[in-house]
Amino acid sequence: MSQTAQNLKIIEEIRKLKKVDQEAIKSPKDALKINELSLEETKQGIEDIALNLLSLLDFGERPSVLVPIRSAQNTIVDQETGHIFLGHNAVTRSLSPASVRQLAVLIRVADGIHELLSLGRHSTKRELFYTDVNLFQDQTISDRAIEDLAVTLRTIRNATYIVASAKGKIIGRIRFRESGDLIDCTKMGTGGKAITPFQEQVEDIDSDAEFVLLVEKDAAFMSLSEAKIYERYPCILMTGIGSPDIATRMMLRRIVDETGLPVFAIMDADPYGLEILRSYTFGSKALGYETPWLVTQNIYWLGLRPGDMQKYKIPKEVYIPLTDADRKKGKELLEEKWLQNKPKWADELRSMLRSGVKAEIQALAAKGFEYMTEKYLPQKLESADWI
Amino acid sequence: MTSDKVETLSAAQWFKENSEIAGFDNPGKSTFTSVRELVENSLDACEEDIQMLQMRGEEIDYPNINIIIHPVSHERIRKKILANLDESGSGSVLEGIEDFKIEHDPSEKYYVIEVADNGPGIYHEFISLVFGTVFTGTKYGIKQGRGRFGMGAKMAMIHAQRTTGLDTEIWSATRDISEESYFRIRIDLKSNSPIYTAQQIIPDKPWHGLRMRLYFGGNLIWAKQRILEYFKQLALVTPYVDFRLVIGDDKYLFKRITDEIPPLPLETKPHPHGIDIEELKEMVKKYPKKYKIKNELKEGHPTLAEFLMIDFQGIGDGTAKKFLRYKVDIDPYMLISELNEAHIFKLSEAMSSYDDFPAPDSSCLSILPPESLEKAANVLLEPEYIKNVTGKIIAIKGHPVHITTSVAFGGNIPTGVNLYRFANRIPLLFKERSDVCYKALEEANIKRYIDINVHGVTVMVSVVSTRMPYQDAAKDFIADYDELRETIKLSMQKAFRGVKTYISRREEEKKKEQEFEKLKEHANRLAVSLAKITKGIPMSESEIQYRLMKIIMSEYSID
Repeated sequence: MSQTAQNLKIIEEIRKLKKVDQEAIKSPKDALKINELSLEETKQGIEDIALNLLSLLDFGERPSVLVPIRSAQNTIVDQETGHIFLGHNAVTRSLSPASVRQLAVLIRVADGIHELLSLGRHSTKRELFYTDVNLFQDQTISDRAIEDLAVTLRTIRNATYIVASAKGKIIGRIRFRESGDLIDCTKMGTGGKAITPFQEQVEDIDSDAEFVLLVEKDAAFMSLSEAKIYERYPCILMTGIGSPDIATRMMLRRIVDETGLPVFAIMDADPYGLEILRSYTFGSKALGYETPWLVTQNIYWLGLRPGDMQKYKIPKEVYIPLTDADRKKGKELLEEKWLQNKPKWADELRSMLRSGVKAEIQALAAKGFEYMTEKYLPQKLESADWI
Repeated sequence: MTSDKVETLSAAQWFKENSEIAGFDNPGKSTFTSVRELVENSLDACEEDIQMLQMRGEEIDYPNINIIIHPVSHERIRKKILANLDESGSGSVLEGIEDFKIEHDPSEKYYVIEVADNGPGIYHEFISLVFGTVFTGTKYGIKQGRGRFGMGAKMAMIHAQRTTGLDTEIWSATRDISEESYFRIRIDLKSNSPIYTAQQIIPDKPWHGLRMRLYFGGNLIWAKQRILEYFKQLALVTPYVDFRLVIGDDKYLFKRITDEIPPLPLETKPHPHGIDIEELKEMVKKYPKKYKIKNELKEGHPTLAEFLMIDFQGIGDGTAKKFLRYKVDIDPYMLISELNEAHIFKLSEAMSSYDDFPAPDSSCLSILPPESLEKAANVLLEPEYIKNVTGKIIAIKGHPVHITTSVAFGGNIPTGVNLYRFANRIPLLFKERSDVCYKALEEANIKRYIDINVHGVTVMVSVVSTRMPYQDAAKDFIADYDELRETIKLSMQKAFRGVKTYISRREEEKKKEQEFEKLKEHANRLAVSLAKITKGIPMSESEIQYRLMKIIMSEYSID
């Protein structure tokens, strides 16, 4: 079969996929209601928190703020869709020995953000950290406080005008305007375009691709972009470089929202690969309040799936035994509700746990450096081997 | 020593042969013992003086004791001997040259020690008697004393005489006569009698007290640290005394810390448990043919009941008769002159085993008030906290034994445990591990109360008694009586519990303080941020800060 014929066959298979109309994702009733606030609304929200504290003080009461908990113990999973949201559990941060520091950090972050909003400019997490290193001591402290503030305001982090530095990358058949500049991602060399944290500055997305190829790690992204995979197959190549940041998840969501393209994911065949796949598809626990803005529905798990290892005769030398932590993580994932919406994913995970081994995407190189681009991918796509 | 009741007892030879027991068994120990004996001699004299003045209602002199120890060359000792020879031509000095070792022990060096006090001094005519014979003491009835009153100083004199051949020099003056007596004395070890090699009365030198100067062979390198430790500990239990100590070129001052003088011991009659058969025999045999009972003077010998009532403490007519009839099974109206050996044996046995006598009278003890010890310990040890456990009195063989435990904690006390033992307010520095206090400390298990890897603790046990239950004649440590050990252990544990309570209270306070500081620090931050966000409406930064602090302070009850 000629390459063109092969490509046509692939496109045909892909087009058979039902175009998922990304309808707005609704939070379940018992989830915390989150809104995307405007600059003015966020500013007002911060002022309200401050005024509320002052009015408690006026009554001679101990000032306190209720901050929703952002962790597994306050996670709600939509029974129908499997999407992960935050519940209503909250902790009190007050003028008490146990929590005064957290209260001070929260209010200091609120103060910094309030100032940014008044100036109407963005800032990075790092910059915010440097506004009071003495108090924060470690950037993870101020980073967490930013998200705590967002969720206390019942909004998403982007509304705070605080962004993380760019992390994700994109390359391939897509054009858009970013801050007014026209970006053509087919002309990005091999490194790709950094996915901007300022997502509201991305407009006019246009693409002639047939699918999005989402890879877990930078190494796989590099080898695929170097092979100019998007010239061989009409696709957009993206990576969040490990655990994706908000901007990458939001960009993927917007591409799918505006083009209706399916997403094929290439992750490591280990429990962490699956967990990253989950955060793109169902949301993450710490950012559950952002789920409605960040999850992408029509993601298919293309590879590297535990089942592929036999199917594609990957040599045993590149198998890695599962560690205790892997097994623990795997078992935890099997317990989670969202996986029940993906029975085939669950089967793959179970087979991985049974076999006791895992493998990275790079394992494919054991069959030759071009094996992934020349054999593995075409064969997978052609045979519609996604789940 | 102002007393006129001077009694001659026994021979000096005995001490020469038992120098180990007396603490003169090697050059280092001899040096230490010479110092302590002279100092304790002075202390006893000063305290007795105070007691006398107090009784007369006169103003007292606070004890002031100066000690100088200085090395002296071999050559100078020789010259001094020759000078003395020129001066008097007395045979005693020739004897001195024979005694002086030309080929001396290299670890032995020569020193002069001089101890001067501001006590009552000794009348000229008594000096030779007091210092000239070994078993001479100004003997009183039964009361607490430092134990070797008079004798220790004489031991130091004999030691000096034996190692350098030089006489002891004594200067003395009393309050009522404004002249100074000077003596040079040596003791004739064979006849136990004093030999004056010089004596002089210097008119118009009004002062009072005693100054003694001895030349002796010893080892100050070994003794110096122990002497310093001795004074450090002694100052704790005699905080009403000024000690000025000069060792070679180094000067040490232990200043008087308190004006308070502890009640000094009163003389009491013996307790029936405290008399052995020999002593009882002696008492009966020497009984005079007239006696005084209930302020009535009677002729002849007393009855047995009267004897008990007159000569022992805490016995009345009823107790005496009950004891004699039912315990000893002897006629209470029998005259003591009619007692035979068998009677005395029976009586002695009954006396020591009868449990219904009242407990020994403790008014004869001189107990340093815990406040004085605490004051002294605060100055000398600089601890963070002191816990005193006082007032426990037990009886051992008819003698009251009073136990005070003080535990000093933290501050400048180095990590770990130190044990200070005091017997009749004299520090015990040797054979610690054999002492009842050490055993009690082991049993008290301090680690259950205080983490001694982190904290420093000094445990001070003061045992006071009319007859200190020493293990042996060397008097280096107190014997391990079960009841005594148990009592000391319990008082230590009580003190440790006190310290433990203090530590946890302190830690609680420290935690509160840290919390308060933390709240205060963050309240300031909150005030800044809140005022900024709200642009000072409705409250200014200082108003917010004030209100936050008000809440914090109300919860931490800090004004």
